[in-house]
Amino acid sequence: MNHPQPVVLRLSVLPLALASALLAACGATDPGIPSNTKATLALLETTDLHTNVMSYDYFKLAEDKSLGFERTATLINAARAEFPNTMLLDNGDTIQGTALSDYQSLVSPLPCNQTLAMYKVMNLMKFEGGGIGNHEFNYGLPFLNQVTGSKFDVDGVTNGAAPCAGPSFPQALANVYSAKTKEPLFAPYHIITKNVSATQPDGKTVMTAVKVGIIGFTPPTIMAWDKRWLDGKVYTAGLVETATKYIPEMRSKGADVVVVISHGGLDNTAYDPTMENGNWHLSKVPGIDAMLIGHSHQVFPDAASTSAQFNLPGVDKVKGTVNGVPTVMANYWGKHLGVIKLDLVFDGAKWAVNSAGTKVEARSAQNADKTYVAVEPTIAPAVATEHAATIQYVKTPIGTTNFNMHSYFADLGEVSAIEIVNQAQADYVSTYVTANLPQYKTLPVLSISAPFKSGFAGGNDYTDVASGNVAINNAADLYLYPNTVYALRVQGKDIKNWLETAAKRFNKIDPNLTTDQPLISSFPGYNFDMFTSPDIKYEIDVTQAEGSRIKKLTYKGVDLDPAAYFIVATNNYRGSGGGNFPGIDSTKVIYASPDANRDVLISYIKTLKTLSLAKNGSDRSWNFTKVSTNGRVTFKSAPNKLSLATAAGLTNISSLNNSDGTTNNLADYAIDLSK
Amino acid sequence: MPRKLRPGQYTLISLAALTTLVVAGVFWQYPTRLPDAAQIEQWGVLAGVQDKEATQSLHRAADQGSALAARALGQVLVLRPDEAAVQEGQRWLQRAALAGDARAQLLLGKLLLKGAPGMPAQALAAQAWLEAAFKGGQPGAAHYLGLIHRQDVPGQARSPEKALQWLEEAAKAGFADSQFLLGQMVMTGDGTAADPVRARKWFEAAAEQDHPEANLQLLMAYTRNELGLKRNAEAETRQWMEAQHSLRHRPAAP
Repeated sequence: MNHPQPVVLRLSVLPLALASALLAACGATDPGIPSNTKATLALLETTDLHTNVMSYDYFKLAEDKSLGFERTATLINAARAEFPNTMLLDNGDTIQGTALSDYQSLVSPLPCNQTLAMYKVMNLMKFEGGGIGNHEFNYGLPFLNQVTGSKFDVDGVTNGAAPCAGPSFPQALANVYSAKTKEPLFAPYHIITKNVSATQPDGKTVMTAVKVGIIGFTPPTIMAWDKRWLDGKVYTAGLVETATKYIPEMRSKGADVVVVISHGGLDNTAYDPTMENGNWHLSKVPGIDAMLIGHSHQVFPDAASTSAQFNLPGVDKVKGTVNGVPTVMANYWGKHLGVIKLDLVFDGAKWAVNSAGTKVEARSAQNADKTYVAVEPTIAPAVATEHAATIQYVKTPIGTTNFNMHSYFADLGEVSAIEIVNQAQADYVSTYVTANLPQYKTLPVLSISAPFKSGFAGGNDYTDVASGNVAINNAADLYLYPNTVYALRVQGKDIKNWLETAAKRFNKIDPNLTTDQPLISSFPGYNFDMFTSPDIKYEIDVTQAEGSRIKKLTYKGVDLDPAAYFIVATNNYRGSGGGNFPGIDSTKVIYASPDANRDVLISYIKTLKTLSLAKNGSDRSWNFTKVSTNGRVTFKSAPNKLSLATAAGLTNISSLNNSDGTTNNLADYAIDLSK
Repeated sequence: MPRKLRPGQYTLISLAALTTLVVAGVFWQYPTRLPDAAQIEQWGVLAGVQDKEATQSLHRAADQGSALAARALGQVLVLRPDEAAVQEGQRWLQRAALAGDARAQLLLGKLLLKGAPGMPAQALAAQAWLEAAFKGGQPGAAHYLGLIHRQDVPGQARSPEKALQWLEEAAKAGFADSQFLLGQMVMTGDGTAADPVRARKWFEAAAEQDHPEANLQLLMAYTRNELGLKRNAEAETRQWMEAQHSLRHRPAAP
């Protein structure tokens, strides 16, 4: 008779790094110093650096002193001068997050023999250990394997004879396992022999060693967030289960002090092995001397914090403890340095923490007078080449356009800044569906988009990309918001409802009124979704009530079948129910892409190389239903732009003035709806 | 001819024999005992990475009547790309759901609401399972009941009032997606009077959980002086960063 074979995780074969740490741990046991010798050790934490090496904003192409590791390094130097012994540790979310990281991973992938700019400066500052955040997985396992100098034994990763260049400090991650080997992807922990200066009871200062165990955790939710890279290749284990297994092991291997490096925040809802922020529960596992946390981009301790996670029972936001365990979170982008000062006492056999001497702080790179600490001058030269190459990349033309792409008249149906976005979205989704969703490959793919910049904040709040070269930073003008592409499977009736909601952008116009009637309502421009395709056509009748304005809706010349299915490319905001479009929600989503609409647009322009008005800027799907009005129908746009409307074929527009009398740099225009 | 054994060796042999019998006895009984929840959870994790052994173990336990195993197996199978696996997964979820497993009822409701390759969406069938799941202690079911009432579905007209009630149940249970959708309805005055301050409270609750769209909504509110917020360069920069950053780690769906 068959019986179930319980699956036993084989952990007897530990990764090499761990094995060597264990061997080292078995070496020295007696430091040869008397009982009651004391030492102070300050743990220093960076977290969520996100490859902000320089105090620089690559999209604005300008200095930003409020962020950057070059200033955190100054805080590190100050702490090293202040405390007799320090240990510098990083909490992760380190290798992703700026144009610099995109440049080194996607644009000009780092060669095996070189070290990532971020790790380079961390090596320079002599980090002693690090954890792995969720964002470390954003560029996929082969890249992570390469840049961390690892040798992952997982499907899809090939290893050379020697590991690639990487951090010169050990990295630990205990709760992610290879599906192939069922063993941890990284060393789960390291036991670091830390040489410290200590004070004997007779007052003499001696050098001795303390064994500091570091163990790393990442949010188990990486399996959902980086599904495309991780699905089937790795799996996660819960924080509490993992810590319960390894911490006694670390102690038995000689760790005097156990430091948890856990990328995540605090959450006291019922424990679940897949929960994102498991550290409130983790802190209750016996044997933890200190926790370095992160991920939430918050400061802890902070007496003034209003963040829910720092106002939970058991959390002391003044002292910096979680269920009694000293804990620090050092904000993000290098804005803070976390410091946990531990007083250690030797009892004749081992070191232990005297908790009375513990002090936890998050130190800001911003001074009390709102200025910022100076930069550490060795950082910039170390990454000068990478920094310059990234700036060059951001400025590099990705294509050219033979027309001015603008949104000055997008509310009136002009599409020069919208069609290219729809084309890029449709192309991206079609390609994906064909390759990955064969069950939907017969459905037509449409794309819908809105003018995000339509004058709300004044005459400068319009998209305006001049003809000529298009660069990466122009893409932010064409696609303003940080969104990702979503593909929805909807029926003809849903499309009709979708357009009816979008048409709330207009006030109801009474043709009999002789006074001026403003056309544009308070309905936000970012919800004025429109198609820009010769295949789909419709009219908007602004004389009708909301919900009854879409007329003559056709697909390929035939009335749109309410029951027919379509795929519509849009963004995560709409796909999640943003704008409250009835029936448009997550249940319609067939693909929630991890790729940003802006990046999809950039790569589409790179593929096309040249954009032309005929192909990429003039396909209108909709017109206003013609109606004669007794009074003027008015709207606002930037002044002196009439020629752009005329050039786009909007010959029914006239200019009323060059200023609407406000300081908003807006002018009044009128539209003749009878033409 | 067997070698003659010394007396002490008899003891060793009988100990070994006894051990063998005990071990065999344990294994013989094993199939009649269902594996515990932790074991099923571990098999579920491994079956999720296509581990054949773990998938088979779940199969056996489900066959022996474990609703937990049936649910875990169904949950894994409905995520696989082929139609046959999805349909088999649906059958396991249904078995667990019929056995009264509220989590399975929620999973089955979600599957029926969305539909899958070879399986058209059935909103009203989904609604029945979701209502059962909610009664059985799965507050996440309220989110999907809200979605159903937020639109016209075959056989049932849209009811924004009911949608609001259900979404509020789920929002209060802490689901960020529900908080965001509830905020949308309250902001636009769908089924209730528009209330920007109340809407903002829900967006803030969702944003606190790194909900990307709630962060985006707050960003747009700052830039447009909406929801009681005012233009503020520092807050906008921070909010911009949060909206972008949270895209890479949205909170789990209910």
